[in-house]
Amino acid sequence: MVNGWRRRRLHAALLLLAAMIALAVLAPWLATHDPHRAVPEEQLVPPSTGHYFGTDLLGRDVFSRTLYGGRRTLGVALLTALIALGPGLAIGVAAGYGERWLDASLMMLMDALLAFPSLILALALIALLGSGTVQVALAVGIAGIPSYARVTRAAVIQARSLPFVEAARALGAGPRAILWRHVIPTAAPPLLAFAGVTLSWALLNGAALMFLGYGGDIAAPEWGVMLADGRAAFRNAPWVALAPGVALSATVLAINLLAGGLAEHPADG
Amino acid sequence: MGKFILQRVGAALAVAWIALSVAFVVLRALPGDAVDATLTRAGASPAEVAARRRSLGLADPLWQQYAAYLGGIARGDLGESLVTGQPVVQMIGQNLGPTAALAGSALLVGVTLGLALGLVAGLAPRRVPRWLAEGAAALALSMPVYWTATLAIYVFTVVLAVLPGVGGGDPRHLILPAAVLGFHTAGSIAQVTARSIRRTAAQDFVRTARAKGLGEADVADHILRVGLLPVIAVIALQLGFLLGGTVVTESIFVRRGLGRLLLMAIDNRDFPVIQSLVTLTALTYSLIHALADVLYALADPRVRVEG
Amino acid sequence: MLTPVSTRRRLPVSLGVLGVLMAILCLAGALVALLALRAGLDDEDDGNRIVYGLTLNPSGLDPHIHISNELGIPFYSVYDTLIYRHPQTMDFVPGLAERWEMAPDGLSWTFTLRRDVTFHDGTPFNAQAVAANLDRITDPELASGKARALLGPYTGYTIVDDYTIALHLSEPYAPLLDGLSQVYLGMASPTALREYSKNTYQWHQVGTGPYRLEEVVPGDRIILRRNPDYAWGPVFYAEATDQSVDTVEFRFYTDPATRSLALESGEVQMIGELLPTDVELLLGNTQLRVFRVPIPGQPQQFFFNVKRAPTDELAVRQALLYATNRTEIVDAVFQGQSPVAHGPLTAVTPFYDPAVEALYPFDPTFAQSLLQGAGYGDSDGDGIWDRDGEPLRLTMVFASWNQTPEVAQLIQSEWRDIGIEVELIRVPDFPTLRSYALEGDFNLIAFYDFGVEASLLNQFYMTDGANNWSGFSDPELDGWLHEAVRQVDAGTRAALYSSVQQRIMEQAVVLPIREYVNLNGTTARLDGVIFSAQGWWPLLRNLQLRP
Repeated sequence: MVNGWRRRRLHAALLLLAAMIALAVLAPWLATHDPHRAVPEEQLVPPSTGHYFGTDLLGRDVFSRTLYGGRRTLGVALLTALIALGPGLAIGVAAGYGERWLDASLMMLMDALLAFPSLILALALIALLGSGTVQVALAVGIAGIPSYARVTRAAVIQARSLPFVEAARALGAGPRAILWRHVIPTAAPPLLAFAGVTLSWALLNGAALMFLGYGGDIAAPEWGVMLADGRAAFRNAPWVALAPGVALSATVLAINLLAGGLAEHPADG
Repeated sequence: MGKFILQRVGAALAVAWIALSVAFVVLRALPGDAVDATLTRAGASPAEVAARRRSLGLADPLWQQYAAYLGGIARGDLGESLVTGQPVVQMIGQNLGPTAALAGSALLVGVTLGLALGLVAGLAPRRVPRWLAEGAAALALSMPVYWTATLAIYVFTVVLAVLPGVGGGDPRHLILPAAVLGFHTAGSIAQVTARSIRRTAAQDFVRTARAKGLGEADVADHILRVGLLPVIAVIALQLGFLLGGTVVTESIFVRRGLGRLLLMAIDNRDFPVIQSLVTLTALTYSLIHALADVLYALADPRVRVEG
Repeated sequence: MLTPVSTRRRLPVSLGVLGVLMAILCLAGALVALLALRAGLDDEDDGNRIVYGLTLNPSGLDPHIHISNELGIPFYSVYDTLIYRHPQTMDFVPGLAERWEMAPDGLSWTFTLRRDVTFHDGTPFNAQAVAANLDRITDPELASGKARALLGPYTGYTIVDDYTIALHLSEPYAPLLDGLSQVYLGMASPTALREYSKNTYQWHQVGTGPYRLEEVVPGDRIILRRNPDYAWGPVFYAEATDQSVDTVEFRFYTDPATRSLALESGEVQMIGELLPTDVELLLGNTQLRVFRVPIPGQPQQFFFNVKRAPTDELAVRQALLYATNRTEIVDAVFQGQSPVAHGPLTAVTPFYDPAVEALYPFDPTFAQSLLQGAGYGDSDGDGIWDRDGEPLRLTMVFASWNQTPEVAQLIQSEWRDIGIEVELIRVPDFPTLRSYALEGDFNLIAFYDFGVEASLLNQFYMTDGANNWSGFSDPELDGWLHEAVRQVDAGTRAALYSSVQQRIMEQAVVLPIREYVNLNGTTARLDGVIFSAQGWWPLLRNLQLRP
């Protein structure tokens, strides 16, 4: 019974995430209006049949902007996650599988980066890089490398010391074969789970930087930017901020549930 | 024990020193653009910019600047704001109190709420309270802080008019920001608590204790003792989240503090301030981690052996 | 009896974990208590106290150096000026100077000063003090932004006696009195000027005004305290009563979304630049009042960069003017609470010429025909017009204040409808805006200044104007502007400024959007809410706070 509920929850999360991604991808076909087109005569219209999520101060359709905003927000989050995962994975594997001196020096560097709270590190990087979507992805991505490197290293070390790996070594298998055929497949599940966590973290922090105004293009729909715009209009038109807020929360929730599901222990649930 | 403490604190300081140095190298080794940009924007002539760079010591070789920088830190001199000329130490001093208060009270809320939700999610015998607690924790982790803050201000200040919304000053203004930030901090704590308790409860030694005939209360006590250990580590990690969270929270609630100072410094490209704030947070965070390790070791004898 | 080993060791370990958690909670609680204590200690007896919300954090607070209008809100009351403009009649009335006289050749003005004035630090006010201020403002090391510019062709002074000083000009200059009536030429204590450096004086300003500067925490607050010895104000300053405001604390509310909230919750008793959408809500609140204050000077506008393609072509600029639906912008972004602007000066500015109103009605079809005439068309069917393969693309640069980002986005959408693509660049502050301007890195840039004197146009439109960011150069216009400040006769000046305004609009140097109306909100307990002739600066002296 417990397992059944857990599986259903996983399925629901997967469905939700797939839906959010599908909505973003299919935005050009699903959108009812041009997300950039300002129609001031229809400003601050509440949700209605003409505008499912209402309109904002400039009369732009919030539904369409939320759909298109998803493309930008999710796109930036994906790019950010790649920037964090790629180097993070490489560094973690090198540290966990390589010589001790390599491990020690790499981990010291990672610890130094981990000493900065991630949003603050990202902000400092933005100060250097300037504003823009690529800059945001770089800033948040770089801030995410050390965590993933640490997790990868831990997983690799753990996998490396498992009995069957020792056995393979005793049987004379070369280090590279061991790495690819035994260590990596064993380490994969927690790494995938943490990749999911990294993605949701990237999503929240990227949107935060956009919210603070470092995203570059202020007119392009994006959930963080829309939340910032929506704050000024919140008392007259709460729907402007509600739609992107719900969309962002739902997506992050879905990713978190999925990632949590992948990392679960028999006792969980 | 003493050696362990020294070890961890030493490691923390070493890490902080590396972080500091990385920050220094990155910011100073830039081709002078930072200082040039700031001063030129303020209308200085090229001669004035060059003079200012010399007076700031930026024309010296890098190692000399580094030595001066470290020496300055040892003396408590963090440089001066490129924009206002005010000593950075003074600027930080003026803004430290409110941020500490916000972080402290948010931690208070977060730990209390997080533990409560986590215990319910981990131990409650009935399904509904468990799901509610888990749901609350999941929401806390998924919603962006600035959105919750906007909603909270709307509900409590505009609609209900029971709490002050924006501004600083007296403790009443701390309630809403601390509650919002604390709510989000609670999410991680709740999840880790719940997970850890569940796993501990499933372990062999618990079954053994039950088999030995210990009552449920005793068993629960066993579970808590061991299960709460990872929570200490998570709480330390949450401080990092909190320090970042104060940036957004102070911005939305118009509160004085280090977060707002950082945002202003970034807009002004005031590198001495940015550098000092970043290294200060790195130092704080490292020391907190060291403290967490020590506390963890005090609580769990097994860890000490590994060192 | 078998006692499980674990129970014997139970207590210390249990204490361990729970003890740790309790320690954390206590630490957190201590931090909170610390703040509560400090907050308690900070509350002295402030008398009648109001909090005033500022909306912009100026990059500097020294009126002699910096150009922001926002800094005038607190500092207008910290300083007195030699002359004041009456807020209602706009006439010049005595301030620190009792009388003044222009020499027949217009090349010098003699000011007879009051004898009963002292600075907040006890220094007596006299001709030497005025001289010290003039020396400071004209010192090139100081790099004065506005103060020096307001003095125009000033060449020096002569101290006639302790209470008489003459200012010399290289040519007649009508706007001198207006300049002397602005906070930027407020008289500072020579003692304080000597004591502090040019960078640090801004946090320790000492004047003669009805309020003393008590404390500045940069970026956070400015605290003023009533000057009980103040007895030399201009005729429109009220007498102090027991409802006068003793303490004014200025706090910064740069985020527009927080302003009406701060007012409604009683955080602030007075705040400017409310969001137009919030004003509707506030009007229904009997505890609050809204004041709409039109500001003379330039409208909210964008300068064209006449040196950079495609805005280097008159036809393109004019087309853009015809393509902008200003009424729509004013209605949507400003809820119709500001008048539409048509020219380089607002309608409430003396010497405004209404003839500019007829010049650029909203006519997108005509705009497109102008573009076609310049050789543009949509040759590749992508919706963006182009010429010789070059698409019609513009860069628009602006800062966040006055809701310019919303205006820019609306313009971007309007112009896209006729095939023009606009890139929006938002900068965080004035220095960055200025650097874009100096690089010429824009086609349109949002920049404007306020003032009663039409001669404020000079720095923007004269060929060698200090803030001529557009690059516009017209010798005939230069001549008119130059002549207009030499002439004292109002009729002559009016005719010259008419020509100026029409030429500027005919040459499409600027894209005016709306006339600035400052939406101020106050608590209904506040009486005597009056703003200076320049529109921005409240007369703190006259505020009365009812219990």
